[in-house]
Amino acid sequence: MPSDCFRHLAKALPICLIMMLAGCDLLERTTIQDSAVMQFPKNDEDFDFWDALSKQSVVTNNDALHGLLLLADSTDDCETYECRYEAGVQKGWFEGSWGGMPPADQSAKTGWIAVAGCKILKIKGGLTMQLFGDSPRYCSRELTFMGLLPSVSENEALTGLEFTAFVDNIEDRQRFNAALKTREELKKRQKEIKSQQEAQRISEVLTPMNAKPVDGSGQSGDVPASPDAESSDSTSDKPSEPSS
Amino acid sequence: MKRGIMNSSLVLIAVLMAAAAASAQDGTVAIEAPDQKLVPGPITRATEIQNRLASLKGAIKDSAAPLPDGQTRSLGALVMQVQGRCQWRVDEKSSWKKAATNDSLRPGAWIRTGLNSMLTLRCGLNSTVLVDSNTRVQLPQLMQDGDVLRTVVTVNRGRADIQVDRVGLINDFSVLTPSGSLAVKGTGMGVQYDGFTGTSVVGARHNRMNAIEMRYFASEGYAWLMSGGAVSTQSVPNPATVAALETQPTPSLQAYEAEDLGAFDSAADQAMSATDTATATTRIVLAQEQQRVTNSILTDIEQEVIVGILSDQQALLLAAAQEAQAAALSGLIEQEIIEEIIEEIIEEELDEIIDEIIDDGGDIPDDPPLDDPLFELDGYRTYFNVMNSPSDRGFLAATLVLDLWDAGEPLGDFTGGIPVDVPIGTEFGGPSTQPRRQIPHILEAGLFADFGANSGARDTIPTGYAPLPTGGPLAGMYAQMLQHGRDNQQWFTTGGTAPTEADMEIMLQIYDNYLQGNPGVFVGAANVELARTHLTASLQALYQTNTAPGFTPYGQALLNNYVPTYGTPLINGGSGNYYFNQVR
Repeated sequence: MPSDCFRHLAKALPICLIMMLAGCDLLERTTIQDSAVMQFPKNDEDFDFWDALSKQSVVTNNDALHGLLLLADSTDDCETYECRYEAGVQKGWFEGSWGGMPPADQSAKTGWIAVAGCKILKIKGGLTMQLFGDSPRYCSRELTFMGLLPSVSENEALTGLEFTAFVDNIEDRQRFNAALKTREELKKRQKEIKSQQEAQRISEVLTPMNAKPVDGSGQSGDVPASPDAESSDSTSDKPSEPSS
Repeated sequence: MKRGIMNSSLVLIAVLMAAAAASAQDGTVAIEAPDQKLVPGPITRATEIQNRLASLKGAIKDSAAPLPDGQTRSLGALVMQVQGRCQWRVDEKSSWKKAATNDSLRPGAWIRTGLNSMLTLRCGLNSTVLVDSNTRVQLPQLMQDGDVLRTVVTVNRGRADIQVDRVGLINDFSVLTPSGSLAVKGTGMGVQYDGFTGTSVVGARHNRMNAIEMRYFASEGYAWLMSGGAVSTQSVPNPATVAALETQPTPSLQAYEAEDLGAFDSAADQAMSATDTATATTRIVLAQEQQRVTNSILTDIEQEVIVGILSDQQALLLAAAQEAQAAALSGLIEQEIIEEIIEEIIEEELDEIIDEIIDDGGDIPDDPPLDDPLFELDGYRTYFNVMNSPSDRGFLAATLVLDLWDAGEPLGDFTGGIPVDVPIGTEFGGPSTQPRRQIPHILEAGLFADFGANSGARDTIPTGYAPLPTGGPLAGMYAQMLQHGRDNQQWFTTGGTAPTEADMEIMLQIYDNYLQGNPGVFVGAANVELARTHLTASLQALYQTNTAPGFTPYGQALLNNYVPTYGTPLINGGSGNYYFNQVR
């Protein structure tokens, strides 16, 4: 009996070892040495940057930071990855991420990209997000719910083309929000105009009819020039007499 | 007493109105005959805008006549609006240019837009394309084939909204994406290609496109469109318009051929296909659903916003119009002036409205200047700025082709080719004929003197009509210029269309590509400028700018003999020499 147990253990050990080794390989993230941002780091090279990125099999942390900074600020003045990371940290894009600065050439986790998306769009999220702040997990879910991100886990990576689509989606959403805001303002303005018109109409109805002199003497009905005029105003409330 | 008179007048008016109403009720109700014109109701601001747009588009329709069977002509695209950072290039090998309103694009052009940017194109005679932000689009085909308007737009990434008008011809509009091809049926659609959904079809933003069209036609296109489709007149020297409406035959390119050509085995596709099938499907379904909802809401909002703004402005407009009308009735202002005033009021307010509708984004950084218009570049500016008219630049392109053209090769109507010697007459006091290929002599002499053999210029060229270089960078440049002429044989065909300023710009682009392709030779801006002046110096053989600008006798002879679209020449006196000035 113990010999059987030992035999089973002997068989299982190599399998576990192989699985562990394989597991280590699987946990390693993809790296790209000469990614899009390395080729086109300048602000005026953004067209080429997006073109190169859309052909990349995976988006790196450096690429993602550059792209998101371009989206958020329309410019990325950083020359190094460290500078970009600092800019990202200041914007709160790495809230809830563990392990400090991720390697520049490593594939970016969807989690922190989603947090950046939530920050850019100022998404409040659900109860969990409101209680515990933006986290990679819940921001990913929130953006998936909003249709801005496909149903991916926070640890997955995006291809270059997918990241470009994500950026486009955020931009669309910004436009959508702007349109909503415009509509609200428009409705508000219409309501104000309507109330003003109503107030004017009421005031016209309630204002006593002006007995303007036809001879054009220039006397205003509002400001009586003489006690006589005031008395003529007081009579204007009376219905006019039909002429014979 | 006076008050009594007023009251009695009011009573009289009331009685008359009541009598009129009664008689109307008693009388038979008139049924309008089918041919009887409907009496239009009160014109609201929205209908005013729609009517105006329709009338402007109607002007375009006038130029959409069918061609005889088997005849084709190439059409152009015109940039109507640029928002943010947008660029375009002539073809895959050319450098990118900053897009600007009225830029004229040819078939084969590439367009790209940056973040928070948008570009709107009027393509050919029947369609408007709105290129969304961060999008890459190509225009492989834009032509009229008999009574069919064939258009192919390729959306490599991003989104393009397409609106196709009915102009009395058959619309054949295809959209290609890296994963499929679509035909536009009906009035239009939006086509999107991205990493999540692949190709998806969404509702077109017609409101936005109509607003942009309206704005463009009101500000830019109204003058030339209303001039009765005049393509090239000195009073309407809009080269972009000319380029957009003029014709040129090019080989037909079917949509499926284009798709096969690219095969779309791109890295982007590989990136797409690398995703798991099940996940991809889920992503697509989710994203498409969301897109539909978003689009629907956006369209509704847009509609509401437009209607709201229009109704707000309507009262103001009508008041202004009534005021002007009253002034006309009182004889203070003439009716024509009144109409102009009303027109201006409409336009001003339209601009405001459309600004409100369109400029809903924040401050968008302007594109840093990439490329100035080629004619304005250092080295070209002095020469081209003194030319008589934009169309002279177009005809200069034709003469340039004729000068370089191989003697034996057919060209347009001239199936036997172009003779080596061109008869220029004896009235100019020189020889009666002039050998062609003057340009290489002058150009290469200048290039060789300043840049040596590395520029591709030859040290010695046999006098007279000499063969062009067979190798080196200059050979490629000459070949490209000749190819442009080969692609535009209608310049040299009776009943064909004339070359335009855009063609000369293409020639300059070819020359600039040659300069940029040899950075080791043409080092620095000063050297590039110097090399450009060598080209303009050689062009003096065709069109001289030293005294009274005009075509030289040699250039004139080329035009008169081989460019039927040049028209009837008249002799004009210049200062010391003769030149022909075309009547346009």
